[in-house]
Amino acid sequence: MLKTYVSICALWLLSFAMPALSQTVADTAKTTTPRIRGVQYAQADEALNGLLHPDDPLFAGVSISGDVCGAVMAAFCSYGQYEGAVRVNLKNRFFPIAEVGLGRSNYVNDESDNHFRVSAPYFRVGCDYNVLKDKFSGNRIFVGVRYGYTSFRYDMSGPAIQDPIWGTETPFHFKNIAGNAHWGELVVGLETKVWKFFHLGWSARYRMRFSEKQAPMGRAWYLPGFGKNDNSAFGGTFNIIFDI
Amino acid sequence: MFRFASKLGVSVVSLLIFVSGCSNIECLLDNIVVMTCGLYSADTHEHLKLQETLDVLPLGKDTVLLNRASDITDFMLPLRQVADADTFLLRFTDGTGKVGTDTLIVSHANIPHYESIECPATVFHTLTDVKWKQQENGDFPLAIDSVALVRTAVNYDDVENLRIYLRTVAP
Repeated sequence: MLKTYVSICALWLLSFAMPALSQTVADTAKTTTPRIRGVQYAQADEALNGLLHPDDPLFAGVSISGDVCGAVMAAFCSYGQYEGAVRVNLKNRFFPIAEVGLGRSNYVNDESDNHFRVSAPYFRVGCDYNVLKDKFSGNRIFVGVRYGYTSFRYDMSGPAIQDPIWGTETPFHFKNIAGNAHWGELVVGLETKVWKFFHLGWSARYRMRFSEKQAPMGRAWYLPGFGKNDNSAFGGTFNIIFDI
Repeated sequence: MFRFASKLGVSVVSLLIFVSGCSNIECLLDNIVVMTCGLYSADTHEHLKLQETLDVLPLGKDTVLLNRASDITDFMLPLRQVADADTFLLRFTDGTGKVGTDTLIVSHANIPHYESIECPATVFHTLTDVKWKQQENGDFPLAIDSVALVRTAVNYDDVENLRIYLRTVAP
């Protein structure tokens, strides 16, 4: 009977003591762990990114890249370009970029035997925006814009022009004809992280020519950095990218 | 999403390659470069329909550029591609067979031109000066009174370059 009475008293005392003890432990925990209560995320992956990347700096790095597609075209096709770019990563969302290249063409038309040749630099500046929801994944989907400019000199030659009345010939051979052009580009692209600092990506581009300096004898067949000379042109790049 | 975008990207690139593989040649069908001359009355300055016949011959070449044309209000003449000036003999013949010949001298600069690399090149001209000389026997009623240069560019456009004002009554 006495034992039973003691046990009941002990349980009764414990029922008062446990909340006080747990409160003390909670208070201790409150003062030693970071205060993260109140941070809410709409999606689970955002919450994970918040934990994995607690700091999301404005300046997140610089990368350099080269266009393989243009180089292959320059080597094996009638026109192409050797192009490199420097890109800044701002919060993994905005990517200001400067592209510099050397556009080349050496083309003889089969129908007319006219020969066009140019080798000149060009540059583009612009910005890409990463639309992928998970901006830390290393994969990126870009939309962007560019402004491009080139100043060049080209050679144009062809068969002599026959005068049907007088039977004379006018030579058609011109060297170092000056020209320049301004244009804008709309860019869509993908990029994937292959290994640590090494990325691969491509971009498709719609180009709109703003203005062009045209020589009296005719316009250039190819504009360095733009492509075949027209009011608009499609183009693309396949990029090898290194984070530095 | 990235996988879908990758597939979409491959499709877009394939389409671009296909589109860029297409090409078309856009050479003009009307690719003759000639100077257009309009005929006007010296009295009214209105278009004149020529009742007599007109032959035009180049000086220095045994050929005819315009052969027995009548009922015309304008005509076209080719210019030399390697010379700075052309001299044309305008020979008017009336119904009785009476002939009067005037001289038209056109100075010009020559500019080789190509419309596209697929098209053969040609020579455009820029008219710089025009002179004329009336026939020696002044009793023939039809003769050049004056000539006005209204458009200097001679190219594929069939637009009037010279206005030739004709005297229709003998002085």
